[in-house]
Amino acid sequence: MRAYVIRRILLMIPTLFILSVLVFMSVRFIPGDVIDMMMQQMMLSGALLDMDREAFERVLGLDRPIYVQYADWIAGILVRGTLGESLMHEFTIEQRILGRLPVTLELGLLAILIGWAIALPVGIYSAVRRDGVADYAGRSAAIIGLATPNFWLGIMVMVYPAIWWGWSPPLRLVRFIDNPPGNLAMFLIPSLILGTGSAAGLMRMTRTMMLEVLRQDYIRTAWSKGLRERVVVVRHAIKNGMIPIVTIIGMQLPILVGGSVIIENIFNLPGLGRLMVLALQERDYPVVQGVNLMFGSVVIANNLLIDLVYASLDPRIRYR
Amino acid sequence: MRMIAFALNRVLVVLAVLALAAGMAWAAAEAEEAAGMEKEMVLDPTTGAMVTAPEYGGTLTYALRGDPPNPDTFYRHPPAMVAALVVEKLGMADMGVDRNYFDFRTNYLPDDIVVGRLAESWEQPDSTTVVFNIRSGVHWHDKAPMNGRELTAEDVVFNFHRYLGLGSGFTEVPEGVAGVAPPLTKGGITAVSADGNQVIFTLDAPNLDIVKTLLIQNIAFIYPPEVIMEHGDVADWRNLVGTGPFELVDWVEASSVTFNKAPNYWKHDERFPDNRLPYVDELVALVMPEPQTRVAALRSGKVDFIGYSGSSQINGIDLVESIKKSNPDIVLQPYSYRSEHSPIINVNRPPFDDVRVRHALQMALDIEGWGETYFKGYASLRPQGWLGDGLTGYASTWDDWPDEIKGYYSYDPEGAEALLDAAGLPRGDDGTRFKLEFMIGAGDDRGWKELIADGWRKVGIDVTIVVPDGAEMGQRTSALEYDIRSGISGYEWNPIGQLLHWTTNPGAWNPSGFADPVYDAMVAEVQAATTLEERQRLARKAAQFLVDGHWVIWGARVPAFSAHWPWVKGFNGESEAGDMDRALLFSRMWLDQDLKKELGF
Repeated sequence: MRAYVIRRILLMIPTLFILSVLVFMSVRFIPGDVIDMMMQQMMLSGALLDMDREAFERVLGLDRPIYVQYADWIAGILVRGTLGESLMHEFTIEQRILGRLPVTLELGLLAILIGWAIALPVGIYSAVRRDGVADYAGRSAAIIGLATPNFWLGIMVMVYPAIWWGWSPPLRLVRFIDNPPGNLAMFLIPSLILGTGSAAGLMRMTRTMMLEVLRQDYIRTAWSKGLRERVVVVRHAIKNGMIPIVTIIGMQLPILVGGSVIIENIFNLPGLGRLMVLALQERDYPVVQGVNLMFGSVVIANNLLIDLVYASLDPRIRYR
Repeated sequence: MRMIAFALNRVLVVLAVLALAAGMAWAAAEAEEAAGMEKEMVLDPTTGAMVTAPEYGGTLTYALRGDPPNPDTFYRHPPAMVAALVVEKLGMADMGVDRNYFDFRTNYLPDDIVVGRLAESWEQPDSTTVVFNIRSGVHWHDKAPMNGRELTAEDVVFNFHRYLGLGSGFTEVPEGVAGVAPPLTKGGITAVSADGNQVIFTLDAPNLDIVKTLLIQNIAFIYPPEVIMEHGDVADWRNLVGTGPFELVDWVEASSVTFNKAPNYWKHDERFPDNRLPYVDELVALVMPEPQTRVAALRSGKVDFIGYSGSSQINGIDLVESIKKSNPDIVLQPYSYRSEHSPIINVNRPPFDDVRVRHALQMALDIEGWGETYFKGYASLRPQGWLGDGLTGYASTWDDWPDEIKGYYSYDPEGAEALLDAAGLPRGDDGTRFKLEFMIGAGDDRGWKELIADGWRKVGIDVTIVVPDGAEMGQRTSALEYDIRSGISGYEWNPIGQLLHWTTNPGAWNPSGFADPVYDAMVAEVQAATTLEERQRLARKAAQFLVDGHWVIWGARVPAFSAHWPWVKGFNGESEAGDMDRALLFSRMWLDQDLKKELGF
């Protein structure tokens, strides 16, 4: 097991290298750069324009060959321990990521918990009561959840209560340590929207897996032994049905981090999603690279974690 | 039994008397409260309207469109959304002026609207010297390291040395901040020095604009020298100390910025000279990038104000109509300083280099007809040139235009087709004359652009609309890689700067790619003018040249809106208090807290 983990960690190095090249290059393929954006903004703001493009390129280091820029970025990470500085604003990327991460993490974790809290019981109950009213209701709700885009729901929740009842969700960030109830009040609705969206798919998967397990011989044996339903389902079915679901849950983590981009904007949550959107609009290369590298690293680490969790859930799995 | 009935009767009588007494007491209390709530009314001399007397206290919350840049305007941050509330410039707009004379609902401040602020007065002893007398009694906020000390002329000199690289340890303007500094250097400032309470600027040549530039130029805020000497700049908001109406007390990145009233602020309200500014105790800016979120926050009372002062104005007539319907109490105030519905033509791409084609593109558009319907009567539809009509003296307005030119700005699709035929662009077998790519911004009014495209299609032009994002649009504009792009016109901002946009000056933003030495010479003459009258006359001539050349298709000038709840008082729809100094308007607003309660908030 240890050898497997070490091997997987070593394999992460070339993966991260390829990832770094991809995130570095991909943002540069988008037409326009940060200086174009500055010019556009200055023109629109009516500011007198007397920009020396070449001077700006020099100052921002964009006049150097692309491989030199890449090498400098990587050297910054490996040698100086920094992801670099924003081209558009005066901050370091790691400082900004650390500032925004708690918001995105809180939103993502709450959404995951809400998703689980809805999906797992409903999925299990739907499977156990297959083709009953509750099953149909649960499946219909799941289809509606899958068909409803988060951003649309977010906008509806923001716009219509304000028109009808003069109400809108809290919009000023309250730090958890300052005011836990106020903080949760701000995160509740966006988390519910994200969570219900992710719950739909997870619920369907849970139901399918549970149905699969409930058809197994050992479950029939358990029934024939006269065990109570709760014992059969909880003790024998759920644990075995959970293995594929762990994959889905694991895959949801990065999706929730990425999927929060629009919800963060709508609900005024200053997380990484908002940082990323703005950085992309401004072609702030170091910010886009830094955030993408972090997302990518999370996904790679997450995949390793899922594989390790498999082993603990299923004793038949042995890593060598 | 009779005894019980009697007793009950008595009890009922007593209860009735008690109820009556309680009712009367309640009514008296209500009447007393109502009497207490009756507000004193005073005359606002700037509008001639009676308003409730200004009140101190409360928290004014407003929406900011984006996270403000750091508060040091030295770093090419023209809007100065935070700095403008904390630090001050030498001058500002005269907020006491009669609004019938100038309503501040545009960006351009005429010279006679600019007054002193940190500079009490100024003089020009000769054509290359400007002397500002720094106001006495102005104190820095009581915060380290300034600790409330009095502002001096040396503080001002230090700041201009920093902006210009002319002393106090600053020997050059670093690359990277060059985007903002040159407007200050264009006056040819060679030295800045202090003498007592005077700051003396020496120029290498006469400059008609220099006083106004130094008074209100968009970055020229006076920052605390001690902080700059200690930290190198004022980029960290925690170090910001100013002389302005508010102190910056909290900044939650990308979420909110909080200001407290500066207790020792020196300035009084121009409208009510006994009142020391600011009125509100606390000012909270909530950062809200999403327009729908901003409007929801306003509707729910989570913000009191959205508008140009927070760069969070409402764009879109439908949204305005929706707010009017759902929240009739909300006050909507239009302002406009340019048309954002006027396409710009790239003349480097045939057939747009032919003026007949450009005229035809205009004649194919029913701006009057569509504008009335589409913009529901809110838009100003009479054609304007690149310089907006509000630039009195500088702009060439419709009445000045020759009849022939006016004809090209009238809807005449047959005339447009005739011009296109004459330009050698007949309809082909499929009815198409030529293809045209219309590049518009993601945030543009798509419906209006579709109407324009439809007008062109009707005269046989095959139009494709493309929607790149801001940076790509900037890149394609710089490289002149487009046929026609959405653009602006009727601009009311620095007239000389706007004329310079169209020159062949390498620093100019000239999206049409139009290059004409005749025009360059005209603008050079404008710059060289020695009197205001001469300069305005020459500017009108250059502005008319742009109208005649038709590099910009006139669209419509549609207002944006500031919106606030009626308990926000002291605001009359103004959009600027200086050059990009609009946040300063918050210091002149007050809150009618009783009205807020009355409206259920």
